[in-house]
Amino acid sequence: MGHSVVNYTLTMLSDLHRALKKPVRERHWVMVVDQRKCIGCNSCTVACRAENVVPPGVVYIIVMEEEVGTYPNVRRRFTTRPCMQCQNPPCTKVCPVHATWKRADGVTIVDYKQCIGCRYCMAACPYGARTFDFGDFYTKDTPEFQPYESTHSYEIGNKWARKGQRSPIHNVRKCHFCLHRVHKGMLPACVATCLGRALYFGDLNDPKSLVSRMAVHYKGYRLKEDLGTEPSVYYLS
Amino acid sequence: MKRNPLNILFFLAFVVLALVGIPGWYDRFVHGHRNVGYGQVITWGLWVAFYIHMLAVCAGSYLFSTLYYVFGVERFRRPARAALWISLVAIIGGQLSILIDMGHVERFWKIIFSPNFGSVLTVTAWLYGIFLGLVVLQLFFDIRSERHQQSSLAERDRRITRLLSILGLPVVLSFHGGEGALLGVMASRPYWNSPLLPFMFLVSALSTGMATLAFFFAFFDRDGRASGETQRLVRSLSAYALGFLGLYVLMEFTAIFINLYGSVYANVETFHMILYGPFWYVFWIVHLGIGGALPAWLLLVGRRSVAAMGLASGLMAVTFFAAKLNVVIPGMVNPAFRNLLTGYKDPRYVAFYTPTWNEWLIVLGILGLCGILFGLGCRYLPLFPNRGNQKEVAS
Repeated sequence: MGHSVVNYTLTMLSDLHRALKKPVRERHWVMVVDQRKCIGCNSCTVACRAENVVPPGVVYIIVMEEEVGTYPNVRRRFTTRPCMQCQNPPCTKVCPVHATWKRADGVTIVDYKQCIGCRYCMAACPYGARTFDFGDFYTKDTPEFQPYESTHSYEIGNKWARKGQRSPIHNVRKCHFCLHRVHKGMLPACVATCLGRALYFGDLNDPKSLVSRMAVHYKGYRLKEDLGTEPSVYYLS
Repeated sequence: MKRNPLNILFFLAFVVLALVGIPGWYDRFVHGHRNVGYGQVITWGLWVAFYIHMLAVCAGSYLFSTLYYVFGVERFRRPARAALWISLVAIIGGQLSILIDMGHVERFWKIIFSPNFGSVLTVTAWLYGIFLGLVVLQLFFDIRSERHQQSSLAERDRRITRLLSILGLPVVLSFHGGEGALLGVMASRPYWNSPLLPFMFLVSALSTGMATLAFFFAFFDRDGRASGETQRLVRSLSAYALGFLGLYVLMEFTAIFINLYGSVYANVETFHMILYGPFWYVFWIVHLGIGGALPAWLLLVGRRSVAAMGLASGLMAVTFFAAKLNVVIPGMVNPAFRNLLTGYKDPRYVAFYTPTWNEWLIVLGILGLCGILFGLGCRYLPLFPNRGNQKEVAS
């Protein structure tokens, strides 16, 4: 697997196009996070924010920092945490109105027009991957409101603009693996932007795909596997 | 109920509380959830705790009323209807509090028309609806049973009232136990994920409901004072309330001991937060001191006058809210990962919660509205069965 960064990207794009030709139920989108390559630059978080026009307080992907060891033998470890897109998600079953569910391709999504904003799913998520849109804006109380904050986002194939108290304001929001990009043959914003090439995306059901080979070859582990949630994010360390 | 200066004073106090709530309602409807203290880690706050507290008052009062309506304990006939009314008022207050907490209040009907019965929240919401209908019908038939001239018609209404109460009993046990299950089912929250929680909720409901009733009868039921009926009733109710409070505290300390001894980080951290954290006084001073030790002293050592027993009960009823806060908030204090909060900096992305003024104002406003509704019921509904009938039934 000694590819260059460019090759990795091209391989993932080629895997993506191959997966898109299959029926949805035969795909299983997964992400692989190579912790050895993550430099903690947070560019994934920034790219995600720009792509999904997320307001302050709402965050889909974060990079957790940890200091390991004692001086002089100290190193920092970074753990990128998008939504785990669990195959057995504890968050969907608690929703009182069927506003969130797992798609056939393994991605858990939220229907903003159905969500009542009770935040029960947030409490049920063992990964802290859901956040609530409180209706905040970065520049609302400043001399000049910046129009980019109310530009459209295209989450889950719909066009959303944050205005007044309309959805997605007062909804629970979460990472959706940038399905709107993926369906157009593009990689999720975080994967496309990752500087250290620590993030990989693809179809686990395709044995030839890069993510499938990496998860198996490097014996990827998953966070909190003991909970039986069957996350779709694999970590290499 | 006849007017007296104390009743008018309480009613005015509730009107003031309702007015105090207006700025909070305004802010909630104009600015949405912007000016609230809860955030992305502690996702529920004062409104959810208050909702659970009001449901405890509702469930406890209703369970007490079944002593007469279902089990026929004749000495509780007089307070039973008032207990039903308190139960109805409390569930309305609780529902207001949870509706205001929802992101999209205007979509509450989706729980009715597109429910997910796999969610405990849906099941409890439906049970509230059923319960609300049952209580309204029960009150209607119970009041009507006294107005019939023919004894056969009165008897028919009494039978319907009893049937409704028999139906209401499992519903109320399910929805308040279910409220505990709503938190208890979350495997990702070790503090909540305990089979003890639904039972703790039921015990707290019995204590809170009976304490509320004792407070009410001590200060508002002037008619029964001459015969000593009020004194006997308040003494029984406050003693039961204290007993159930004792049981609840025992359950709390069992949970504390087991979890601290177990030394699992997530559990220990939560209990340390409750016992020694920045809000230690909520547990030690408000819940155990003002809400436990002081009422116990008033009831067991003091003069045991009706006013003292009423005061002790009022303290128990109000401060049980502190116990509910200590169930809801600490359960979310530990983020999903120890270093989760290192990944993103934002005022809402913190494991700390202090209610804002708006949250308090709305809680006070709801309390005021409940008080007004309760007062109006006392004034315009025959909440106390007339004494002539009582003697007739007793004989």
